[in-house]
Amino acid sequence: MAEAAKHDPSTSTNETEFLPSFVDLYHECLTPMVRLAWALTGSQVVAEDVVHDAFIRVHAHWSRIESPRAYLRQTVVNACRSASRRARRERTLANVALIDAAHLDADELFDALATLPYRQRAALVLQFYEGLPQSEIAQVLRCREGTVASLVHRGLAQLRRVIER
Amino acid sequence: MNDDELGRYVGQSIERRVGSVTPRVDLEELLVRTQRRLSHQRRVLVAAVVAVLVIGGLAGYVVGHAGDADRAAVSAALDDGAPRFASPAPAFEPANVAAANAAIGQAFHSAFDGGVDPRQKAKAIQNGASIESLTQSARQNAIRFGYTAEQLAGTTISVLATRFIDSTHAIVQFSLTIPGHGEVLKDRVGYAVLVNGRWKVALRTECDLLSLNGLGVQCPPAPASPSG
Repeated sequence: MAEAAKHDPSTSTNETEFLPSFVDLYHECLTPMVRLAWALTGSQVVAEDVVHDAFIRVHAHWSRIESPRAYLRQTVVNACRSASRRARRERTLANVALIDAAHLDADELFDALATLPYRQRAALVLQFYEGLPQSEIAQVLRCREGTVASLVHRGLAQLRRVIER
Repeated sequence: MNDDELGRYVGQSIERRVGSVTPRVDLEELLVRTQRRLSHQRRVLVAAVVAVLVIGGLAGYVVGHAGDADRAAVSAALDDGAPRFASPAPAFEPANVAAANAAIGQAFHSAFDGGVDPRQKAKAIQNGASIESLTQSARQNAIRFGYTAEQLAGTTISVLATRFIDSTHAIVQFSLTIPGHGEVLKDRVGYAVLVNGRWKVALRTECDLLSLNGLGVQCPPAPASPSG
């Protein structure tokens, strides 16, 4: 995944080389951002809404944004956190049943991610799906690199517990 | 299974689930929602201002009438029975409404139609010289948003209605169309002001439009007395 991320414009860190137009940004980043949001929220419908709203926010602040892609990603991650809070309040027994499963295959692991606290989930998704370095994840999650390492470690440990049940 | 292996497994799991998604591309809807959001923010702001004015007005009325009884007594004592001067009727419209309408329409066309000389544009806006650089920035911003220079040059404004507040101020309803993007501003409300005998687009209206791409905050305050 990290390899793929190198070619993905939405994960580019050197924004000064190419400043896209808003329309370019939309066409380039819509799909990767919806995928990221889906991974973070566990719902495609919510993901599309979140990303749509994120683009509107980016549009509103366009003239003041230095790194549109980074700003967009940050906005999506923040919005997914709010969406996850709402989802947590509405959480059904489905997740409980999932935790009780004896074995999880790769697809079920995706569902197991949804049971993690949001910051752990976000750290895992940004590191292992988006292929971001921990320094950049720290910027997105507004914490120190050491905290990111801890979130990743605890997230994996939690997933391992889910798998081994 | 160590952390690296499990992490890779997590990445593959996510990719397998979300990798095939292709969201609906609908830039038009996004732009419409963007405009709607801005309109909503503006409505909320206007509602707040109206609420403040109404509450302030009521408070002023209550305070002002507290001493009415005393003033009425003094007034009755001073009244000598002579007829009072009739106050002049308020002038709600200019003397020649048709000419004023045409001049306002011309000002809005000069200010917002594409392909108009920047100096002529500045002359059509109240205090226009002070925001020439901002209007240039707005144009560059629009290009960053994905509008082409040709599309911007083809911009046309339609003045839909004009209503006079008084003989030197008018409310103007207008729409703006950009080729390839349709009606980007619909039924928008702006203002015209008479400056040294010439109708111009009010500075605040130009600033409202500049604020759509984040430049309004840099707008200079409107002059206290008409100039420019």
